[in-house]
Amino acid sequence: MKQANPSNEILISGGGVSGMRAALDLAETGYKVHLVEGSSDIGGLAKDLEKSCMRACCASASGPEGQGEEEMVRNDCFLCTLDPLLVEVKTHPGITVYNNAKIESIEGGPGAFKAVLSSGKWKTELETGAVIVATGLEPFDASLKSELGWGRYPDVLTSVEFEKLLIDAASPGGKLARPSDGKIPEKIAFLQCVGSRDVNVGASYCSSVCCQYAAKEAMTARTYSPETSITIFYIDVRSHGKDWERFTDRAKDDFGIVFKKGLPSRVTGTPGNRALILRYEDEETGEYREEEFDLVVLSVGLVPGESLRETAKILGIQLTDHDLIKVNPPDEINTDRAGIFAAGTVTGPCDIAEATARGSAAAAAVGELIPEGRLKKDEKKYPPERDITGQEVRMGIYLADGLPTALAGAARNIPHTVHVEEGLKPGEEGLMTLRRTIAKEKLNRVLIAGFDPDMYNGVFREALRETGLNPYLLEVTALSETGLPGPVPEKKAVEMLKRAAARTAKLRPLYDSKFPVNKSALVVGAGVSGLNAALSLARQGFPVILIEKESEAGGRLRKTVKTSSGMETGPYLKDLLKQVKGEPRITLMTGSTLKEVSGVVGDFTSAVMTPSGEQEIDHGVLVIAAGASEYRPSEYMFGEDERVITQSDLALKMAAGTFPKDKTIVMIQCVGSRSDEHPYCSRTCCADAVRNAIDLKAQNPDRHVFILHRDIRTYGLAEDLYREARDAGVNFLRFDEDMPPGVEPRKDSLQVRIYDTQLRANIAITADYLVLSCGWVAGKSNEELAGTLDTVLDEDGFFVPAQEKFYPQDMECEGMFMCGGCIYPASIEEAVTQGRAAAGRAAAILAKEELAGPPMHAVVDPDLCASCLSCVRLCPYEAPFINDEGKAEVLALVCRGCGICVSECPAKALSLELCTDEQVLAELEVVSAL
Amino acid sequence: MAEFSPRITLFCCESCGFPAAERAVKQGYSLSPECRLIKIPCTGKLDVLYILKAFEAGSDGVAIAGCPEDACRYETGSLRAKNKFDKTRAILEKIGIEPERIKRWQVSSSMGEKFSRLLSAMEEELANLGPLFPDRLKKRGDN
Repeated sequence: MKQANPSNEILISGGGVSGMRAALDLAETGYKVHLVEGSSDIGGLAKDLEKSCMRACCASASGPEGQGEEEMVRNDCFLCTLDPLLVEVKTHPGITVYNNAKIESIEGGPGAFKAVLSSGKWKTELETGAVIVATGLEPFDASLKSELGWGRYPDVLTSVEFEKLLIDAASPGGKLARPSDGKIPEKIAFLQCVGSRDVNVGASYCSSVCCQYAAKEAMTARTYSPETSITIFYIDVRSHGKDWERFTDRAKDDFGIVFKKGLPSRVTGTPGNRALILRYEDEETGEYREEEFDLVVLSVGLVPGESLRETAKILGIQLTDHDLIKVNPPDEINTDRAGIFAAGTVTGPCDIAEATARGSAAAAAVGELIPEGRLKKDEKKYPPERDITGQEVRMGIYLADGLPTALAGAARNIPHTVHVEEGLKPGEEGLMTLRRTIAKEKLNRVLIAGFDPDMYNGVFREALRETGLNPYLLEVTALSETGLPGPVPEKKAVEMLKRAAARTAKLRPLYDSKFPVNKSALVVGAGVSGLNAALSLARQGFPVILIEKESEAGGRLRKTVKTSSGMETGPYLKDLLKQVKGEPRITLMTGSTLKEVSGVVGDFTSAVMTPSGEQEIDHGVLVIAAGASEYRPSEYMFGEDERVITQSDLALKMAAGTFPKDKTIVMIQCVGSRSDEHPYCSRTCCADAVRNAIDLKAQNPDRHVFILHRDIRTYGLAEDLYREARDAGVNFLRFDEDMPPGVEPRKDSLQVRIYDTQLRANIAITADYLVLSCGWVAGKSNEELAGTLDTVLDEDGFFVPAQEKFYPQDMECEGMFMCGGCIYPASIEEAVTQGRAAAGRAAAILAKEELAGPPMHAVVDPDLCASCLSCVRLCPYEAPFINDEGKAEVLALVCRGCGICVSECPAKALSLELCTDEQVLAELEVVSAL
Repeated sequence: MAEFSPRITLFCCESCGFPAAERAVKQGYSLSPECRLIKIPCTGKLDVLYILKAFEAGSDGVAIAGCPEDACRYETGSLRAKNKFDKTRAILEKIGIEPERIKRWQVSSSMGEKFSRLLSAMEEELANLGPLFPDRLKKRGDN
């Protein structure tokens, strides 16, 4: 079916988060990418929801009392997360972006499609090996729910519009003002599920992200306007993502945001837009209440637009009943037409991290389809490097947009400064300014202030190279002592600027050292995500060693019966293992654990303990897929009474046909989740419980099934199951965290007591079985692995991504990736996608012939060296040696850049680039003058 | 004179000391403006001269925040730092500066709380010892 000489050009439709990630991973791997974007710029929905990041830099993370001082430097996180990605996509030599364009037609098959692209002005034809659809979903059109008053009352806004209000409030001198009269709103109401979970209009599924963004918008609003009180009206609070539960708790506890269960059915205005009236049922009293608010925010869901239907028609791919692109679970990427893949929300709503993962997974899918299509990357052409030897320092200082003008004044007085640029924007526009002024002012040192160096060093260094300036003549400072972005008092900011300038002035041109890449991978953990990661890497052409600590591969797939969407996991696992065994590039080693990892990206060496002794493995990348463990309950008499079982026990019993058909079942949710011990949501248990309940009802529609819960979190498409369960007559009762159900064993039954907060009544149920929905806890292996890898786990024992939103599969250490339950509980579908995503990220490294090592290593001045051997003796890595001339020399690739030899050299013949004595002493000199 | 806030220079290694400080701040610890972090790759890189320069720059105290000795990212770095620390203390004693003004901490990157506790204790101790350069305090506008 696939053509003999497949095209290495890949067409991606949609320039949102997912499409951008796929484009970058593919371009890095050596494909030529054509990125078609329907609007006037890439960035997608994330551009409008820029403040959705939860990093510490977010203004909302510091609490309402942390703000207020007028001279504070504002540095909001939305500047720091999306923009580097946009720049990377726009400037990547392997990516061509077509704005305001669309795919008009497509013919052919995998490896050799012929596509016609067009915009209003032009039409072009190109050959493409594969197509990725990542056109995304759209915010629900709030005018379709006219009873909520959007479009009629100026102070009823959608969450997207409110986001813009917040950005205005964040700008210097800005405030939170409502549209009708510019007044600061005293009371704001958020209405959840607008266009979601609604069978009549919008989507019947849960949009998955609205609870979280509403909490975030509310917290941000409280930050800018501490006097404003905020109420969020909801059906269920769905904070099912990593750190979301804590985020929601913080919204309640630290920000005083009120969460009220129940949705007001209509919004009415008052004369002159004075206020908006919401009518709702008070859950505590059961009475109807009317309450006035100054501003109402509608948390609109994500729905498929007309364009998605059109795209599907043009591409000849099928849609589901929800008008989403049809995939074949547990796969979330392959459409029903070979060579055409889906990424991002087009297959179902998801958050930014998941959209990113789907983008990387789609890139991996393309790599699997046409591994031979990878080209050696086009070497980007740079102008010859400007020689600055003997030149006086000419420093340019660039201040981020939004920094106070007083900083510019201070900058001008800094020695060697010949140019000061204010209001530097993080995107392409800022880079153009940077390149232009470097050339015009003949700058030979560049200091950029107000940006996170970790995020921006790469982008700005590239800009320096493009002007012919050595990329290491650059310093980026966030202006805070700890380098964390966020508000810095002006006096401190001035000091930090001066200190950074002192270091900058002492910078010297440096050169990366190149080394070859070991093109193989080590994958740790052969569960669902690890197996999929290994398979994907092998199909992309890379040898993989897959190690598993248990004696058999399969992880949790061995203990489950079906996924919540109904796929049987047994046959799936059998097939997966067959594929792994049939793949000559994969070596599966069971009963084996990772003991030690050394080396750097592209060139790792690991020690693996196998049943036949320790083995040393060389590999270029590492993928951690260590999984999670099911919580073993100590509550509800589990282990004491055999009528108390877990959801997985129940599924196994039902599958074995040993479970009685006439018994009454009570299920309890959040056992070992959202508790003091495990204060996070385990994500999969609600859908699993609902799936089992449906199956119980299918066995015997007349039996009674009760699910006792705190919120039903059947996020995304699993909402369908929740509806199906209710239609089948499953009873849902809600309890409060402080009043958990009680269980009393009787001789022939279990008495379950619950205070139902919705009925406001005590209810007793006589049950035959009690089924506990147990959460996921971080595996013990996480701790051991974290020690081996020298990395930190989060408070719950899970791994932490290098950057939660745009690099969810990357570990802090370059060349190390992770996927599946070791990061956070994930459904089987999500684990499959993450496995493939990790493979996509890893392939971007393995496809390269060589990598560049950072120039942070020790160098010897032979004229000063007395060959005393101090460095040779003290280096922990045997990097220095005495060369033929009898002088010390440091092997750049072996040197780790610690600087021990530098400080020990009695002749001061050694120095450590990027942290020279001159730099440290110059910085202390600045402090001295304060 | 009002409560004086001691000037402290902290030499923090990239792998442990600095991330610990970062974590402390993320956890809500508010760093005094007179505390200055100098990031170095490893405390083994520390030069006695750096520490003396830091005092010369008006510091009332200097802290070295590196990895735990047995878990140093660069194996022997933290141990080398101990050497420099001992040497500097000896010099301080000789020239009549209280050796308590220099501290050496072993923190791992996750020990934000320990970091803030150690720093608060140091600030208190230095406040009791008083400024190292009383005449320079006025210039700092600290009183």
